[in-house]
Amino acid sequence: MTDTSVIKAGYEADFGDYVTLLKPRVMSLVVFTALVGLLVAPVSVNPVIGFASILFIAIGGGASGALNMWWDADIDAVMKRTQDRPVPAGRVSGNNAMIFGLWLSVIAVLMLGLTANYLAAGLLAFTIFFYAVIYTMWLKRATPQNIVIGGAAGAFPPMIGWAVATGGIGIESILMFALIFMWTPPHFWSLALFMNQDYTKAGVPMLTVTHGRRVTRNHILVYTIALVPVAIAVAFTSIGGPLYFATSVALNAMFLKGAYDIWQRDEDQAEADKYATERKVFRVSLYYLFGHFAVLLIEATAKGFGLNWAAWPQWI
Amino acid sequence: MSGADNNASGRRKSSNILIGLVLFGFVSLVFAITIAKMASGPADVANSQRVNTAQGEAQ
Repeated sequence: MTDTSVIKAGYEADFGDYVTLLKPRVMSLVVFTALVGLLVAPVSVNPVIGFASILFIAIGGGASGALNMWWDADIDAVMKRTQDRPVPAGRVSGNNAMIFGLWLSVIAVLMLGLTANYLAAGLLAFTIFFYAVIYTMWLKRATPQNIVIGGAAGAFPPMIGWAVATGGIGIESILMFALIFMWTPPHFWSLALFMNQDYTKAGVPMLTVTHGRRVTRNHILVYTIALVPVAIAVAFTSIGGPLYFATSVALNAMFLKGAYDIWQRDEDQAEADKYATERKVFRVSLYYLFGHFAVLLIEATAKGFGLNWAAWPQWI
Repeated sequence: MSGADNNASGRRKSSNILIGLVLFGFVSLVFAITIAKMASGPADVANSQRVNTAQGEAQ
């Protein structure tokens, strides 16, 4: 980390700059997966408590984003994709971003503890710590396995949502965690394949930088194959069902096909079409995760209307 | 007052209004949570007492 506490002369940060610090796009994924974790749980939650809990989970997720932007301002300033963020662009000082992130973290964790329960609050605190300290401050600049281990931070929200409703941890919430955890590496590596120049310039040891694109292509295929049984296993728990199973099989077939296409290509082919396949697989990976969690929500709604799939096996 | 000062003052005013709305929303939310907790708390106790009584009668 370098000194990024300099603010553009004469510029006053506005409300939107602070909203940007919360990484709203990442926040939307956090909100969605946490909401699914909460709604598929076998215990119903008071709507006010549920709404407030999701809001505090979102604020906690946003706070870790602000801490990430404070610490990574030097990297963000170099990368084209991130150089217009409020801290590297000089609209918010690094110090203000840090204070903002820390205060929001404290408020989010305390309020979630008071609103829901202390297990959910503890999980949220651990998620913020894991993302801001373990991933951002340590792993990201230290190892090409950064996003493999760091992916855990993004995988916690459905587990927190589940803990809000049940006050505990179940095999279902562990599998939802595992689904996001296993999905993260192929998702980010497909992004890294076509954003490699940015990471090289910033000196971030992504797998594409340290081991090259060929090795990254191999890793994407292997991790996608490992993801398939985890995703399908959810179908045979209390939150799964035939709808989830059919959707999961289709989405996994799409993602596997994409990973295979990436694996098959060499650099000349990729350069020739400006990484069109890699970009497509990155998009598919987004639909993949959204599709899985959306269909879990549909399964829960169907069960709420009395559709119980009596003959469907629950092996896990 | 110059145009730039007017612009800065306008931006600050709208930021203050937004912060005010956020604070008002936060206070309202805490109030709503308190009401929800007060409403569900005794009902939960009553439910568990009802279950215990039913179990006792069954034995």
